[in-house]
Amino acid sequence: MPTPTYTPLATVTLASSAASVTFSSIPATYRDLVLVYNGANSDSAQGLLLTLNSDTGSNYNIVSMNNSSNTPVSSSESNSNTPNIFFGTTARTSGVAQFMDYSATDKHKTVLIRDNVEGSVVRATAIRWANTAAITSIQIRRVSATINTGSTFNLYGIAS
Amino acid sequence: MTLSALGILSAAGAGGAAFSSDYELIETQILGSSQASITFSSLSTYSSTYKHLQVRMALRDTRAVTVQNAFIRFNADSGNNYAYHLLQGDGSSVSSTSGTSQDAAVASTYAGASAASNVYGGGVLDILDPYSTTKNTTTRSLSGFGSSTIRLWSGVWLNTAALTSMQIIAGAGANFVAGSRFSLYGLKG
Repeated sequence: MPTPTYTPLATVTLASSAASVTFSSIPATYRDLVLVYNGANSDSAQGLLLTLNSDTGSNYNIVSMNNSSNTPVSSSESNSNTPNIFFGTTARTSGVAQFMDYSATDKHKTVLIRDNVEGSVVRATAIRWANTAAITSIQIRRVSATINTGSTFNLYGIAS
Repeated sequence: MTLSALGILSAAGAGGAAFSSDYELIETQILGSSQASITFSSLSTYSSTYKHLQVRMALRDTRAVTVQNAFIRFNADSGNNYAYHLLQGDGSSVSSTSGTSQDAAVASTYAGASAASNVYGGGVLDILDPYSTTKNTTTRSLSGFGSSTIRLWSGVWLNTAALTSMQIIAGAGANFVAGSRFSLYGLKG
């Protein structure tokens, strides 16, 4: 019997600028999570950092590719404590992040991201959190700037 | 800003009675032991319900390499009736390749046995308009795992038949390991 899913869990629309957005107490009810975001930040020097379960250690592994002004580039980083999910400044970034098997306790967590910066960037990113714990919180944060007013973050749960 | 009321929201969704969605879980297969392929069958059952299908995967296999590709066949067709294109980033460069007259399309990229323990590659595969009888069946997927690879695949099955089954096959004769997960979803149209 098919089961309706892609369940809205939480929606954030920033009424004022904020240093971070956190989804906490995420239940292990679902198999995957999907985060849809659209926004900008106040500093072009940095993107947004993704922190899972409050882990700010060097436990993230990232690979990304993008068009970079018509010259495709790819970069990677191992054992990083700054998993960057990227965010534009005045140009808005829209993206969809897939948290695969977030509730499993026998797998590192893979996050697949497809995002665009309006008018300039098309990008795909994979992040691996080297931890088998179920994800119970997702924080998106800036180190020294803020996420702009009007930025939106929508979290969905997908059952299996 | 912190939201902590997710338990309440998820309980309403999981209960199902008050929740409706045009995106539905059809079936999940989580391997209890290693095996070379999985099959979603009797898909014609859903031809009047769904317009598109999606497979969400977390995969690892037994081959002693870091990166593997899983293949997909439709309606048990193992003829050379598939083609694919790939755009990939490996951390140092972006490259592209393609293949025609293939005996399968590519479903997803995932982790082989040489990847670190507990690493499974994630993949989201869309099968677009699979019940049309006037269009070849096309696929697209986003898959990979950090810090090894990120890949965008497109595929086509050069056949206009409505979909009745799909088989996902581990690459290079390997076996998907126990714990590998395949979930099939339908999107109403």
